[in-house]
Amino acid sequence: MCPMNDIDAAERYWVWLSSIDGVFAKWFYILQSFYIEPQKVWEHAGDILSDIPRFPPQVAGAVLKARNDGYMNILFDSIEKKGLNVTTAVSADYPYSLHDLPDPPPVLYYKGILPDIWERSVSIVGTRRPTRNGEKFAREIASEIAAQDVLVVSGMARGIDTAAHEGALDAKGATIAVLGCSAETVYPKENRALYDRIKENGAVLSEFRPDTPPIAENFPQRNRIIAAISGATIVSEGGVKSGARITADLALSLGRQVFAIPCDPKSEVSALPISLLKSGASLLSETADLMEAMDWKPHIRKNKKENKKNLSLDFFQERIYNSLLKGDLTPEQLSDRLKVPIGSVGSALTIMEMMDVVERMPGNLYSIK
Amino acid sequence: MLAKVLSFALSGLTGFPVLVEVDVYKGLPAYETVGLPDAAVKESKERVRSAINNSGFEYPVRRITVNLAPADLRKEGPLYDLPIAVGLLCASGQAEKDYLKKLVMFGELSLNGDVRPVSGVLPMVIDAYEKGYRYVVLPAENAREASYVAGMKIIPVKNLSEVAAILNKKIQPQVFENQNVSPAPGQQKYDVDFADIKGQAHAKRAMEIAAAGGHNVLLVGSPGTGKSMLARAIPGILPDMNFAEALEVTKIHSVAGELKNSQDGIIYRRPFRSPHHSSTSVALMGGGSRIMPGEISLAHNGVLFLDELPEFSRDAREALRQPMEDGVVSISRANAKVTYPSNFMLVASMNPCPCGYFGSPDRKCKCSPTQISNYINKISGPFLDRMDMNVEMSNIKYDEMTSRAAGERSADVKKRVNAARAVQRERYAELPIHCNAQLNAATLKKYVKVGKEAQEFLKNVFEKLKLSPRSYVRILMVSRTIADLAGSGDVLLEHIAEAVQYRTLDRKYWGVSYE
Repeated sequence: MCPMNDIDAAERYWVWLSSIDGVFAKWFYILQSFYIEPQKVWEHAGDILSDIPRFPPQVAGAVLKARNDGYMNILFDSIEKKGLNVTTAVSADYPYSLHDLPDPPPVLYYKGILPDIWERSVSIVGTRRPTRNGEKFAREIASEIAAQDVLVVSGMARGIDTAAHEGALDAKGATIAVLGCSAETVYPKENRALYDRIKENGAVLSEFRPDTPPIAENFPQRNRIIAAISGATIVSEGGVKSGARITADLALSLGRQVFAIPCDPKSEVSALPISLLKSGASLLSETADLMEAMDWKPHIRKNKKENKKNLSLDFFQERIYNSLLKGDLTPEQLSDRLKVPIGSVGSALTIMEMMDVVERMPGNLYSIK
Repeated sequence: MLAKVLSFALSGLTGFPVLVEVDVYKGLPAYETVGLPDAAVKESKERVRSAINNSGFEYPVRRITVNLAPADLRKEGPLYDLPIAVGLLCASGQAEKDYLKKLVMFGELSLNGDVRPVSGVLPMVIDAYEKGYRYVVLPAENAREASYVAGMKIIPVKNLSEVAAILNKKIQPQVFENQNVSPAPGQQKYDVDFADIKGQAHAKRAMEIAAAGGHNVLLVGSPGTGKSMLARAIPGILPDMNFAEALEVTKIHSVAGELKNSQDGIIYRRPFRSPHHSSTSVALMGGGSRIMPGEISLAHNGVLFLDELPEFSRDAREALRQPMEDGVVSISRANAKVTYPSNFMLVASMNPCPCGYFGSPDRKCKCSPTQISNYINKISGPFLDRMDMNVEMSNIKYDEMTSRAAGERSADVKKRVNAARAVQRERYAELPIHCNAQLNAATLKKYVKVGKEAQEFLKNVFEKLKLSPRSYVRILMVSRTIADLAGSGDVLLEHIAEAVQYRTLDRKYWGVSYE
């Protein structure tokens, strides 16, 4: 962890330069290839920038305009006020795996704690509108691998992302959310509680300067971090042209292992995993597939889910449990099949829900947890 | 010459006597009505003139003054046509005054002298009887409705000549005898029988509980899951009304003019009112220049069904809160204040989300979580607080719906409801309440005894499902009703567990915000 005031003077200029509109990561590294540090830009911006071939004049103008103490103070004040931590590409705690990118983000803002080791990590990506099964499976996988001390990375979007984070957190594992807006912005809004949980059990990070809204063009840019930061990428459901596809392609081009989860071939959201599987992605149907392919040693941790099967269900609850094993059902269907009054079914379902055996889903459907 | 004819007027559901004084005297021919008449009363002048002329009498070409006493209360409606015409005939010597002191009279006249039905007859006749009058002359079409007032002699008339003939003792008045004074309660037909509803056992069970405990219900479900049909079936499983209740319902409908030409006489059917969601708060509460009962009073002792609850204006929804609490609605206007009873069971329905398919297994919902929670949160917390049960309909597939065997008939469900109501009446004998839905925090503690194990379970449910504090009382009330249906004296764990099923909006996937 690196509190704000810990970064050295030279790094302050990294933060400054990266915060200016139009200065993309790419330009940072072009400058570096000329052995020009951000501090130099601050000192001699006028001379230096005009020497760089094809450096856009309006960006150079913006840099010159921002070259004053007022700008610097406002920037660092807002970082401090929002409680953001900062790490730069030259800091010790910077996620080193990102250096595999041609344009690693020069600066990362984050809340929470960054881990020391990034190899044993997996990104889980997928559609924002998953099927019920797809979401459930993503949650389970995230839970299981997090229970084996694998770091789960995702983008905190709706759907698969949320399921992945929640799964990892439920197994008391660590998880990292990489945002397409600034690190202090909660998007989507309904994930406020999740945001707080991630912050406590991992980190929420972003390369965007404070007050950046979640605009569309930020997301593909963000996806390159998700692809690069972890050792492997798991693709759940998604369309052929989706953010998940961008992440998967990037991960492949970086030489990362890509796993795809097989699913219903007729479903629209299966297009991406199926096309990935066809082009040679590894198939993932259980946690072992990942652990073996990555050659990760299983860390056995106590999993509270293990003792579920030993729960003392009475005869009737046992029958409900067995019916639900075959698929999700409504109380009506259970009452019909088991020939039991609907009131008793409802009563038993609530009790089983309290025992963490079943859960209720929209549409009055019950499913094994 | 002066003639006095007795008639009645209504303020809310109470009648008060109105003395119609007609004076015909020398002077320039003129006609004046005094005593706070409204437009319909003033217009009676023209109807009265034509009716008298067309009935073979002579309209006096003299100065005429009509006074409606007491002069400080507003008189509304066309029911004074007949008393005025009779007064004119008597004052001009064309009819005899002997009977006038004993008779109460009202009726609208048509131009050819026929007597037409009026509204509000039943409450006026009841109050006329209580004030000591024993004879009433009224339009033939209103006779059935009035005949349920035991001891009152009803003289139905068809036209003005008939009234004149009676007064002149040319014919003997025919007192109306209702052949069918006590319609058998319990023989009422309702639109939808429970057996007609296929599937939805969960929601049907919820309706049974709601009917047994008098609980208000909110149904949440996708289009086509049968929410309206279910609501329509509820009056059929509510206990039968007793005579006093039926009389009260009939009075309200009489005032609203819904009984004219009806063959029903007294209403033993529990009302079912389903106002459209464009209804204003006045349409629901009652009002207008003549303060008429609104939908909530017309639903008195029955069911008020608000389909598509979020589509009702916020005004309309919030206005319901007070009457729901008090069982009566008071409407104040510049010229009067009127109170109507409004003790109804509220059944409301809504879609789970703006597109309607959240949670549907075979249609994809297009709404974002924010849209869903905004939609649900349109219903204010205090309003939700008054809905004891919120029930999520299950999505069933079409073939499942048609293949199922018929369920129980309403009559069978009603037997259990009646039994549970009887238990409650006995338990609350010393309180001014009669069903579980009327319990409050204090009486709840006294009458709902929860075992230790069940108490512990309830506490866990709250922590785990993150229920709102307001659902606590609701769950206990509904558990009490479930226990009553099961014939159990104490509220057991299983009853509480079932009651939790009927709190779907407390589930986190709706995103309902409680402050």
